[in-house]
Amino acid sequence: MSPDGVPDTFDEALRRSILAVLPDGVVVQDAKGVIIEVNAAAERILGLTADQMMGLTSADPTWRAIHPDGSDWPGDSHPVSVVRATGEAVSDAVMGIYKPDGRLTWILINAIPVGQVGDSDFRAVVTFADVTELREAHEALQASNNALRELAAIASHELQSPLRRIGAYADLVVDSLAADSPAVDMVARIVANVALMREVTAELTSLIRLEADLDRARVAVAGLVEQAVALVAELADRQGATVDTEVPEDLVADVDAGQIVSLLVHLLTNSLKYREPSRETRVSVSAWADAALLRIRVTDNGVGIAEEHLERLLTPFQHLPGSQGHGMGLAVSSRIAQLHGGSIAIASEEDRGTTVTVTIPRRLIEAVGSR
Amino acid sequence: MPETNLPILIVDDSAEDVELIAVYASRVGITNPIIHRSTGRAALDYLDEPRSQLPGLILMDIRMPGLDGHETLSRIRAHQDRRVRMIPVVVMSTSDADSDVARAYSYYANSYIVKPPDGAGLTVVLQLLKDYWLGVVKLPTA
Repeated sequence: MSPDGVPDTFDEALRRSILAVLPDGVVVQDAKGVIIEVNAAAERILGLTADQMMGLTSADPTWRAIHPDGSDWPGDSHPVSVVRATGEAVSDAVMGIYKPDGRLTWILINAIPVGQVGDSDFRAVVTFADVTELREAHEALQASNNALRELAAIASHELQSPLRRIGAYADLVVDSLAADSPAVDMVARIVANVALMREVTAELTSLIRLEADLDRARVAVAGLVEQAVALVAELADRQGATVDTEVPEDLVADVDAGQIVSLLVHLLTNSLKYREPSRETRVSVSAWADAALLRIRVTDNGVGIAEEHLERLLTPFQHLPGSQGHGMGLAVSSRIAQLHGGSIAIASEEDRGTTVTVTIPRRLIEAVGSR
Repeated sequence: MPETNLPILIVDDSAEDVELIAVYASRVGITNPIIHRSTGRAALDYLDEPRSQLPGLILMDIRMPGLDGHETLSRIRAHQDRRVRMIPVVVMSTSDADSDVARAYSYYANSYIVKPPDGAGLTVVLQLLKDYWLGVVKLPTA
């Protein structure tokens, strides 16, 4: 480059143009940790001019950085400092930076080494994207979700008392009627509907509680499957159904054991409930995993589900025409998978059977910018 | 034979719940006088009044406006009159939340019962209350 800053080669001009048009901030530090280059996006995102940044190090008090949990983030442990110290890349770190005007900006940082640590021409390249809006939107969404959940919890709880009273008074009415009164049957319908509503509110309450209670720990998947199968053993026996399991003994995952058992009980109960009476009911549970994802699959040879019904099955209060139940089982299962950062997929063929596959990350991964 | 005819104090802001408890109580043969107070404050006032015969048993709701059941229970347990402090308190609440159960016992509730969902459940609970608290248990009378 010539002394007046005008690039003297086409490659250098190209490099500068790329840096200038990049929406992400780019900062380059030399072997001593001194900033030697910044691009326009970096100036905009950090609220500092290139002149103000050139020559600064990570330890400079100009930076006031915090972790997502609000604690201070000293310069010697910033991603770029880690890169300079270890020679290893840092990916997807989330940092809050106070701009000179006092506003807090959240950035998603990636940092890579260029050259060998210790060499005088070593460079650390840091790129960062402004995720402030994303984070704020995420927080607003969480707040509104929390408010909704609270509202639903109150509504569900407040419904229980009147339901209880309707049930108890209806029982008194039945007792006061002559046995042959036509009203006996009508009141019995009131009682039955009260019982149904009570179950729905109870399941709604448990759906709401799920999130607050999520508690992940490393467990053996085979143990969870075994527990779930034991819990439906009586139902399976009554129907003469066989439940096979195929789970590697050494398969472990970071999950909420209680919730995964409950998810499996929901799936197994569905398989046993929607069986095809004309043939022997066979249900199988299998589990396998790669480094990242755990998969648990429940397959049955039951009545199956028509294609047009498949999609809404995962929504609360959707149940199939002519089926019993309140359609909460699959919705609860799907919610449990989601809370673990996973999902549920259903494949089904009418009169042939249904296969439900649960996919869950084996390790707890924190979503970008969320906490 | 234990003293069975001591009054039962029901503290519950729902007049209907009290009515239902009273009806089902009489159906299982409980003949004890039932006294109803609809707030924690009114219950404490009742217990404060000088009288020769205190309730032998208190049935306490939790969710009530003003002083809730937990607070009322803790004040009963800290009452200046030792006879009041001794009265067995059975919490009867719609809530099955672990936090409510733990809190009630930490204030020395004698039992915690989730209000039954229907008449059959109420019959069972009141029969058990009668057999246990008004049957085999010796209640404090002085």
